Amino acid sequence: MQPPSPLAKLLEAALFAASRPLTLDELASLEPEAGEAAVRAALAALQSAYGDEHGVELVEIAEGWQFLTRREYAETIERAQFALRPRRLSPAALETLAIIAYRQPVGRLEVDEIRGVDSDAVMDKLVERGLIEVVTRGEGLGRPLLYGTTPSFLEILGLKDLEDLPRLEELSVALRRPTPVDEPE
Amino acid sequence: MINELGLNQAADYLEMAARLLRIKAQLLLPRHLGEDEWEDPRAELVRRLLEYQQIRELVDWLGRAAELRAERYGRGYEAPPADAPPAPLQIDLNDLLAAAERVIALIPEPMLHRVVPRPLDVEGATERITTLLSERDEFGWLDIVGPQSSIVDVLSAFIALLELAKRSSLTLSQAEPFGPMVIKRAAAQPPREAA
Repeated sequence: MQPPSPLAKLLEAALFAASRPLTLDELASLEPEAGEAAVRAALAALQSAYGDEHGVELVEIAEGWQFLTRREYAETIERAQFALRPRRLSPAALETLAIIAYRQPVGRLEVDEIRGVDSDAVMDKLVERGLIEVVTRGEGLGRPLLYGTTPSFLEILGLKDLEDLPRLEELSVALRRPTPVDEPE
Repeated sequence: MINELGLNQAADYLEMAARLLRIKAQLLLPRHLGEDEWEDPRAELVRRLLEYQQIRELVDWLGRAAELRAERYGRGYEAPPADAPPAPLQIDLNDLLAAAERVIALIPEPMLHRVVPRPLDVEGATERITTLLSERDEFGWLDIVGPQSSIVDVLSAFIALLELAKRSSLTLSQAEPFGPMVIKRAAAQPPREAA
């Protein structure tokens, strides 16, 4: 294996120092001369250099890159309390996130309607945790605030981007045109 | 019932009831055969149920994704934001009073000790002993206090004895541990009358 390039080493240092995923833009700004293609190549080289040989790996996550520990060490690390598992999301929070992720930008009214219950408290909590945010205002009556997901949403789910979400057609309950219903007896 | 559920839930409930009634009414009304415009009113309901089922499936997927993500740690542990403070208590005066009563009931009955002043009469005892000393060279404890003395008398006599022994007016001795106390006039001291 050839020794890592100076650019790869620089990126490695930056990714090590950061405690969050760094986007391609952020990484490219470290060495403006290099150009995006070179940064991508260096990242790919780093990723394969870490390969299976190390306890951490370079992961593409939340529209950026981050060093993360390998899964097999999760239990040991947690037991030793060197790091804490993030708090689990409640079923109500996941449900609301699912609706917002697929319908964004979406207003509170629509979320309530799909869930069939009032979702104000759940949405406030998600905003507070930085998983959703107001992205724009709707056209309708009172120009309601419309919400969308944030990079933190991708981060806690370990997604590269929204494309990583399953496509609605792949679900077992695919939503098609209104299904015809039998005549009443 | 509406008050108990809260108005929002009640409104949702009434809306659903109205929707179902409307669907039923539409199904019962006669319509022209072969009418193209007619759409089964239940279709909307079915669509919404399917849509919700789809969301449930996505919830499972998102939950699994979050679990998998949680198995990898990044650098720098950041404490998760603290939970919101608990909601303000919603109680009325009766609840408060009832709670206060429960707390008061738990307080144990206080142990009261009545403290009675019992003045010691050391001077009186001293006088009595001095009198005995002038009459006899040697005498016992019971000669001072008598067979049925109160604790105050005993204490007064004892303190007086110790005080007199300190002044070398008398000596105290016991033949054996817990034996009867023998009180003797001090030999060295000249009789009081001679002083």
